[in-house]
Amino acid sequence: MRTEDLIVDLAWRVTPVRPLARPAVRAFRWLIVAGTCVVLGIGIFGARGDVTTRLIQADYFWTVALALILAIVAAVTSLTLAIPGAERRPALRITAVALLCVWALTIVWSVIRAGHGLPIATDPHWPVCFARVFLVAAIPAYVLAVMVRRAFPLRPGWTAAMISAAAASAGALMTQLACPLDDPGHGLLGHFVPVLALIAMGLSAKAVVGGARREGAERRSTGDESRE
Amino acid sequence: MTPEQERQSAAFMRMAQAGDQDAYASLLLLLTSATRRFARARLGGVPWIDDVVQETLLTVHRALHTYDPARPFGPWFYAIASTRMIDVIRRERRITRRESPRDPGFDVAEPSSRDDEIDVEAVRAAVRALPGRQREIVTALKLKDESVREVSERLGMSPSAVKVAAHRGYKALRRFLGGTES
Repeated sequence: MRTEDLIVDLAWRVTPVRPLARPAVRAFRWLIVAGTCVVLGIGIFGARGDVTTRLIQADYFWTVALALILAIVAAVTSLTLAIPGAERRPALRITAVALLCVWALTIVWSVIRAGHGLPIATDPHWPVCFARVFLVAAIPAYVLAVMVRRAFPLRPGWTAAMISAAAASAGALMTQLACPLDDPGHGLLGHFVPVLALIAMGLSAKAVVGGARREGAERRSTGDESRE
Repeated sequence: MTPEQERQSAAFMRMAQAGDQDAYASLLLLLTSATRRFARARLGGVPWIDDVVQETLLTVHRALHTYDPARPFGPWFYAIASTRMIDVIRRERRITRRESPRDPGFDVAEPSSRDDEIDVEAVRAAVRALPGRQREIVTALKLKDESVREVSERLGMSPSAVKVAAHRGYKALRRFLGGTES
């Protein structure tokens, strides 16, 4: 197809559109959904008995705060990446990765300091927490993926990773507030590894987010280049 | 894109978002030359500049709702143009890797006079013998030179369904005309 014909075709097909809200506004809407899921999760699984006492202790507070901040930053990043040109500098992405690294280092350091190793076989509870993170993250992940697909992500890999990081952090936050176990090995296996697993799953499912490229491929397969 | 062009593009974009077809056509014309300049400055005189331009225009069309009128137009547009340029470069590299230069030792022989002899009446009869939908699709694609997309839109079918029907039609034609089905 000649470019002039394409312009005529596109101009003929244009219809009024409502511009999307800003990423911060959309992120706030997602936070309401994610927050509701976290509250529902706590309602179903129950908050740990000493949560108010533990929240004023630095180690517990920072673990909870890191999950919360990562959820917010990753959600804003994914929704910003979904708007072409909205990300002027990669500061948000760097912040999200840095937060994840700090969380990883903190928890690995705690495990090393405790000196018990990883309770893979001895702790029967970590698979339960692992599953809970996935369970609570499912709805926020779906909602965020739908919100991102309504925009136009040009970097599907990064966007998918940020969607899963945001949703997984919300799941980890809920688990952190519900789980009464303070063993660092349990925290690593049951609360943090599922976050990494979800991010890896998000990266492998980036094609779901990258509708933009898929549509481009579709056009190529239906356009003049592929006449039967 | 000069500041004046950017201001003009943003104005056209706002009107296009409201459904103004003329403003949108003007915007796309502006973006065509901007993309061409942008791609030529980075790629030189490659023969597939038009692919970059068309991919960019299509993406602009699909991402129309993502432009925030309160923000500058340039970063939005160039993010799309550079991503599409990279996509086209990757595609061209893949094609180049798969293709090998033609070996002059394997030049195709001139077709024999027998190959040129087409029994037009037999072909017409074979096309007429096709079932209704297959006949319509084969005629549109091969005789009227329509694209798969055009046929699929006209008949209300998916592009894949059109391709499948066309493939079946070709197989049937081969069978009618006495050729092998493979």
